Amino acid sequence: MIAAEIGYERAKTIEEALSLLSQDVDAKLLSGGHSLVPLMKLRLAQPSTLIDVSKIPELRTLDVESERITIGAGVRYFELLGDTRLEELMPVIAQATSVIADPQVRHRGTIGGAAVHADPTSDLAAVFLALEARFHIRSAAGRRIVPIEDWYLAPLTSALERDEMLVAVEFPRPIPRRQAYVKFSHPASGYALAGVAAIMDLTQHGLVQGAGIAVTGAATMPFRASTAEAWLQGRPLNAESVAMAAQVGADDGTYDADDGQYPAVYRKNLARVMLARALEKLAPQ
Amino acid sequence: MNDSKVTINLSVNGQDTTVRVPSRTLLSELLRDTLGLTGTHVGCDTSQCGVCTVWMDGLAVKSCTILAAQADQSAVVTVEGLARGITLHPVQRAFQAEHGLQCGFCTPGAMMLAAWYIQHHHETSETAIREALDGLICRCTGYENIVRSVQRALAFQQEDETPVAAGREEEVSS
Ligand SMILES: Cc1cc2nc3c(=O)[nH]c(=O)nc-3n(C[C@H](O)[C@H](O)[C@@H](O)COP(=O)(O)OP(=O)(O)OC[C@H]3O[C@@H](n4cnc5c(N)ncnc54)[C@H](O)[C@@H]3O)c2cc1C
Ligand code: FES
Ligand code: FES
Repeated sequence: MIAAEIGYERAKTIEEALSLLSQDVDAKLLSGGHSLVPLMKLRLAQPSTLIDVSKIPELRTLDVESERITIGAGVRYFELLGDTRLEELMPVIAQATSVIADPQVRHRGTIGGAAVHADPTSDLAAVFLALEARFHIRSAAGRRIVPIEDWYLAPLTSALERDEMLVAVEFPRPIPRRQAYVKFSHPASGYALAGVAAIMDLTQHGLVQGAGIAVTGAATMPFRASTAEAWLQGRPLNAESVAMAAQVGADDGTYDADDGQYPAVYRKNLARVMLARALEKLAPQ
Repeated sequence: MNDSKVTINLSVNGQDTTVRVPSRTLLSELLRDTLGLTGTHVGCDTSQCGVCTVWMDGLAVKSCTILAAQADQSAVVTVEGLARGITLHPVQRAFQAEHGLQCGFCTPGAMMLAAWYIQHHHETSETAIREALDGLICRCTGYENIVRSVQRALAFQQEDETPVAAGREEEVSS
């Protein structure tokens, strides 16, 4: 499998990348290349020019503060695994990242590439949704921030415009302490048939406070289980409430992806099972 | 609008190299076809099997999923670069001692992944090693001997770090 002929430019700064991008409508940014290169080999993507952004230092920053965590678009998966501050404040991202593919893929894939590629089975999609990520965008014309509810438009389509670049992903609020990511992998590809990210606090009386729950892989699009979040608010987390939340949470997805191998009814049931498993991990022992 | 060739400066197995290749050239193609380093094998060419694994700046990566241009200014190590002169790498000695291969097709990738593992992880449990080997598909061994080889490589590495290891090398490489 040989990709079509391409041009290649290595950008040293964000400005240089944006200027190159604005000059050529068929150009594409290249980060780790672990979605784009396979697509180019299959000729499902045929950019005229690749603008390599992987060596731009500003995209490789990791800013961890208690009120806000900002991760540069070019930060690679394995770099999300070793950071002690991140481990303390946002363990869910390491839990999700550690089950993405294998060591070699984690050495190359980036948080930004995953966000822009917008694969409906992306593990980080569940984390972005549950933690209300905000996407920091730049173009030659200016800057904007896209909230998570406006990010995923369709499978493999994010809100990013052709001439825009994702600079960083921000996780804005103080993140609840109880966090979990669980994944049921496709036995061959390893991608999520259902992955659930869940975060919440429990009050001193053990009542759920500020839950964020999201599902990737199972439905046509990654989705936030808003009904489950609302239903759990102020309730204790026990076997009954977990079962109920998992049920109504699975209902929040739209399951029209009937691929024959995994019918919609199976996928929805799997979403329910994995929702329950994620919530069980958050329950007091 | 763009020149479809690119000039790349990289070091391969410690040797500085400058090449000019079509921009679409994969790192695996650069190594095998341009530089003649055919130790790196290509199995699936679809990012699945890990047989094409090499090191780029110390990290195990799949060379069929990286453009050669992305390796500019990088240090690449292939299976040809594992041994120091005639002294085999602990992983090579271990694969020999534990017979960590059958047909040998996946072995270059298996050894590069294993060598990365023992450099960064010291966990000897089968679970941890199998987790790392997730990035390699071997159609022959059922992984049993590969896991044993990695465990043995960890032991060799530890022996090498202690001064009494001298006699060991000849024993297994003969
Ligand atoms: C073998 C294999 C197994 C995998 N398994 C999993 C898995 O289990 N779970 C999972 O979630 N994913 C999996 N993936 C997918 C992988 O996680 C990603 O899609 C990821 O690596 C993308 O990041 P990248 O940096 O490689 O992106 P690239 O391939 O470089 O880019 C992807 C897309 O994003 C665009 N882009 C990249 N950076 C920017 C930016 N800063 N601004 C604007 N656009 C940008 C590119 O133009 C391109 O369209 C797997 C991939 C492989 C090859
Ligand atoms: S040849 Fe590269 S992963 Fe199979
Ligand atoms: S030894 Fe034959 S594929 Fe691994």
